[in-house]
Amino acid sequence: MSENINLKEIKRQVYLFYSEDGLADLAIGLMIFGFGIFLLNDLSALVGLLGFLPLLVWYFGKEFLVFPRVGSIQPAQELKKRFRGFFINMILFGLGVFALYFLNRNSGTSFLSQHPLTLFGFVLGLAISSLGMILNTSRFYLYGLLVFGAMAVGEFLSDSITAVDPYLVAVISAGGIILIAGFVILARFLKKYPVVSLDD
Amino acid sequence: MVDQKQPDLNIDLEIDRLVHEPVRLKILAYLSEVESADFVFLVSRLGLTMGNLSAHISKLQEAGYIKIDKSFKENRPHTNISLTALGEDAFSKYRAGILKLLQ
Repeated sequence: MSENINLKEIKRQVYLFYSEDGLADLAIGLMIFGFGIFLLNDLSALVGLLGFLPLLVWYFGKEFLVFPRVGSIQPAQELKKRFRGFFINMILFGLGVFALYFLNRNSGTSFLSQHPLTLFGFVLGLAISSLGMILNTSRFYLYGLLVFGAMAVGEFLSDSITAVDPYLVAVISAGGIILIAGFVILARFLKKYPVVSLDD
Repeated sequence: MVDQKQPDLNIDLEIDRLVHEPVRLKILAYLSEVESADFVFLVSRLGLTMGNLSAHISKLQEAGYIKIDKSFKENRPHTNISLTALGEDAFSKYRAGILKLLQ
C-alpha cells in the first residue's frame, strides 16, 4: 500500500465506486438497445420492461459481482441530495417537455409536433449526461450525446430512407455501442478486483 | 526600511497520533466521504489484509472515532463501519492543524 495520501483522489475513488464496474453502462445500453429491438419487432407493449430489466441487471450485478470484490458503501448526504435533485429535476423537466409537446402536437408546423422522437432523444440524452455530472463520469456525456444524436439523425433520415427504418437502426446501434462499452468495463473491473476472501 | 513581519514559528501543534498513522488516516479519509462503508470496501481500497485492517479498526473503535455494525447478509458476515461525531471532529482538527503548520 502506498503511503501517499491524496484526499482529492480518495473522494474521486468514492465517486468511481458507482461507475467503475460498468453496470450503469450496461443498464443504460440495455435500455436503449432494448427500446430499439422492441420497436423493431412491434413489441411496444413491452417497452415498460425497459425500466425494470436494466435495474435488475444493475442490482444483481452489484450483489453478486461487485460487492464481493470491492464491498459496499452508503453514500454521504451530499451525494444523496444530488441524486434526489437529479431525479426530481429530470421528472419535472421531462413532464414540462412532454406537456409542451402535447400542447403543440396538433399544430402541424411546430418543430415539436414534427420531431417528437428527437425531443425524446434530447430528454434521454440530457438525463444520461446529468447522471455523468453527478457521478463525475465523463464517458456518460458521450453516451448522452450519442443517444440524442442517434435519435435525432435517425428521425431526420426516416423521411428519405424507407427500405429500413433508420431511426431504429440508429437507436439499436447507439444502445449496442454503450452495451459493448459496459461489457468491456465490467471485464476490466472483474480482472482488476478479485473476490475478497473473508478468511484471513 | 520596511518592517516585515516575521512568521511565527512557535506553533503549538498537537498531533493526534491515532489519526496521524497513514493507514488510519486513510481509513478516516474514506469514511469522511461516505455515510458508511463495509470491511471489504476498505480492504479493497487500502490493499491491506483483513487482519491488518482489523487491528487499525480496533484502535479507532476504542478511541470512539468509528462505529461498527455487524450483521449477516446471506449467511456471510457483514461489517459496516461509520465515522462518529468524535471521529469527524478528530479528522477535521487534524486536517486544520496540518494546514496551519504548512502555512
